[in-house]
Amino acid sequence: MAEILTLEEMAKRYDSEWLLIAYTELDDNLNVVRGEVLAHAPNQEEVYQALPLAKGKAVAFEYVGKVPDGLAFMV
Amino acid sequence: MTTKRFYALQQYGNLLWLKAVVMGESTDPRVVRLLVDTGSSYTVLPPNVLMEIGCDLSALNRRVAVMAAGGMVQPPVVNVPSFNCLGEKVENFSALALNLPFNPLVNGLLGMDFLEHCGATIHIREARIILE
Repeated sequence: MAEILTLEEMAKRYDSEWLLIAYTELDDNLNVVRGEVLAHAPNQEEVYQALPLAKGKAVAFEYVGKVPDGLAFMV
Repeated sequence: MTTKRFYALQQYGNLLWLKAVVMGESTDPRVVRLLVDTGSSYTVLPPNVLMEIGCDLSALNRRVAVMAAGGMVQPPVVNVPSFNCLGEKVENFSALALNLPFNPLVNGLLGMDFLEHCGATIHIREARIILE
């Protein structure tokens, strides 16, 4: 049976990882409120590889954790 | 009378990001995290997600030359059956299929193509987008 967690519970369990979540509830800003974690990994690529698990399910990608200090982004 | 709609953005430092939903012809929603990027002509989505929803990323796709920070790349332009962001749903939306080296933060970019389509006003200090 699927384990349904809140996003806060996922963040505690999978700190600093990307998640593939079969969500059961989103808020108005499309943020996951609760759902089932189908896959988790430290990098996006591994989570993308788990997409076949999402067949027939509505899913969201989330990163749970803080962005490391001193890391900047530039396109 | 003009109706304004307000959408809250999420922040990391001085960067702003939000969520969008992509869908294929017969697939369920895929919610992705996109950086709001007024420096990008196109919206950029991950190739794996696009392929999974049934988009064609074959060599026959039109490609565009993109001058990025890391140099010149030529990603395919992909027809996304359904793209939903900021309360606006666009069918057959053209996006670039490209992986970004932004782990961890976002899956892609929300570019000027979509922002212009929506007539978006970005309020940076309040971290929100206003649509009129």
